[in-house]
Amino acid sequence: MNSTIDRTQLLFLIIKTQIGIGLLSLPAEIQSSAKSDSWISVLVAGTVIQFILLVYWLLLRKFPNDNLSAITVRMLGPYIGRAINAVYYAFFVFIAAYASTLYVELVKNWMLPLTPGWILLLLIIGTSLYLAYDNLRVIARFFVLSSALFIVLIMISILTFSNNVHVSNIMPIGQTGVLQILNGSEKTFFSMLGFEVTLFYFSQVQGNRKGMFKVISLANLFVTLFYTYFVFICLIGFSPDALGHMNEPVLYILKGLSYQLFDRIDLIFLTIWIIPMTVTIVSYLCVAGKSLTTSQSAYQKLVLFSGAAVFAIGWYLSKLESLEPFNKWLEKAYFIMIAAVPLLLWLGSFLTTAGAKAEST
Amino acid sequence: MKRGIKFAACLSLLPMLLTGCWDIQNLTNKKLVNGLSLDLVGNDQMMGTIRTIVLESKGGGQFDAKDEVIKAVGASVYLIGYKIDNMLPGTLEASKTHVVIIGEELAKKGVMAPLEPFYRNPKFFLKADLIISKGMASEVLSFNKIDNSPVAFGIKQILHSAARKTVVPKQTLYSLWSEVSTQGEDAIVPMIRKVNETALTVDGICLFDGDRYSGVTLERADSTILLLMDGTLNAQATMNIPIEQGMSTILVRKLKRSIHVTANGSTGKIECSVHVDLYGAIASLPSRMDREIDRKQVNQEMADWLNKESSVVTAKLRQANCDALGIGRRLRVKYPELWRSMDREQKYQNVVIKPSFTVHINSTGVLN
Repeated sequence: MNSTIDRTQLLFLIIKTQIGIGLLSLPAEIQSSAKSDSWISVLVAGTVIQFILLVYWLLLRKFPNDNLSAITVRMLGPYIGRAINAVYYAFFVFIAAYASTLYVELVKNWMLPLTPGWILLLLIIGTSLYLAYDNLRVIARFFVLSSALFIVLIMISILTFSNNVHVSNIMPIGQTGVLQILNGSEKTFFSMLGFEVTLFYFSQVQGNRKGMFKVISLANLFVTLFYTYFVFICLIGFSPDALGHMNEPVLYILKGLSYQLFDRIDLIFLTIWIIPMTVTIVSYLCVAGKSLTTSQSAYQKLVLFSGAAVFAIGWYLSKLESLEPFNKWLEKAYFIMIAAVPLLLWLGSFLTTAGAKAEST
Repeated sequence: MKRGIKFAACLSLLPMLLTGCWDIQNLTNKKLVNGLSLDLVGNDQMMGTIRTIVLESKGGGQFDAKDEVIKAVGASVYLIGYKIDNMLPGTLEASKTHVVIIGEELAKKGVMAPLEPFYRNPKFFLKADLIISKGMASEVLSFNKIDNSPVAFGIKQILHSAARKTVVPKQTLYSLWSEVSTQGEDAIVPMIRKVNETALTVDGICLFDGDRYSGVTLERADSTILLLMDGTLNAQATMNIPIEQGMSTILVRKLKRSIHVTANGSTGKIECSVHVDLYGAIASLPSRMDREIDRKQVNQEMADWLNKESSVVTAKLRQANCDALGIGRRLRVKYPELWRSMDREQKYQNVVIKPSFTVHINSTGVLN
């Protein structure tokens, strides 16, 4: 596991993990609370994430060569540390399974209604495993390469401005009130998850740690603006009433485009979007593997096992009538794991001498 | 171990080739609907009519396209589709429907409910043009033949050329939903009608109130005036204006429109002033063949007529309770407090719309 990545690769690893299935339905979800100020909610969520990233940075700076699982072991001892790492592992697998269930549902809804869910699940997880099985450098290279598709996606989205757009839909700015905007931010926050992979990838960046905070911040800035932009085009493209009634407004807005040569831009967009959605799962499989193992061969075995686990859980979830209760529970608990635990670790690092030791080694 | 993993990987990748097996849809098994219409029959039943093309082989690789009409009655659009599907060989495919025509009577009861399945189905073509028909929509769609091309496409062409001439707005299912569901704006939809059983024409606009057709229409000149007031000018607009020297025709090529909504806080009086600048060329002024056209005077006379005629338009808008100009939208932005507290339905009746037109003739063709 000595493969290193460079800063650009770290940047795209974070960005691609964050941008995934959540964005497609985001504008409709925030609609119920923040309404015309949804875009502010996204910016607020981005700011909150920036604070969490600051905590990550402060923590990781103390342990420049350790990832989160090594830090927990170093600070809390082998038993408690490993136990916490196991919890992390379980969460990453759950998140991957949850994401792939949503993903299958989406593909079934929009493209392949008759294909059995488990086939789609198998295809997604099979492809993800194939990539996650390799070392981080290979994964990172693919992430960087596939990022070129964002340019295509953004270009497609610009076409929506040829429909009737009403900027007045978001006016007057700030009319829904602070409470509703914050409420919307909470929802946004959970569709922007993925930045926590920083805790695992950070230590594998080569070179010194100077200016690394800029890289992480840049990733967050890009993701926040990307989300804000898509929420914005949905807000000005649909009436608020209609927006609230769609499952995936980002796809729906593309149904309004039609050209002599191309039709059904929504399906073209979704086909491209499949790549960011899949790499999100790759990234979670990868951090799940890293949370419990240190050697490459052990990592590979664990990734295969996680793949099977993701498939099993995903299958179970897809049989549930509603993911709502599961979802609520998962989000709350996950928030503790990715925000509160690193914060406590950072505060704890002042009490122990472990931090000082790590720096000297 | 290595071999086992490779085997497993191959095994998991193989089903990729199978996906077509479930969702495969052969074109040969499809009945492509290229136009459909909906009418109200009785109190709560609807009649759906579809146009579909049947290819008949003439031998030698030659096909004869036959444009078929099929009708069915049911309580919902889906039910009608289901019935029609059972009458035809192959599955009904609405994803290439280009024209949706709704009968006047059904439109008066609201269009969103009958159209709902089209919005819900991910496959439906939402850029399909929406038209309201005078009388029964099925009669329009069952029209004999237009120019040898399938009727639905003929209707589409008539509609598009009318839109190009700024006689009617472009209204698709996609744009309709947003317009109908926005508070502070109402939709306007093109109207199609039969002329003496021999031709179809699109030359009017139906004014909507919410998702219902109000029953009020604007025809020809009036519809163009409304579109110009709304700031819409497609390729160009042809306006026939009677002035002192006789009938004149101006081709409007450029449009500048400014709209201002003001509300008086104490009296609650809402005023909307619309100023429209038209730039264009004289296409015809028969009585001035032998003399030079006095542009200034013609400008003035045309503007006078437009101002007079536009008050007819605003009166009709009020009668229909149709906020086609989006006054409510502007009001909401500018006076959010007032917007929240007022009774929107009632208030529109008291809004004073003040249109003013200015005409700038910048060409008189190749004659002077």
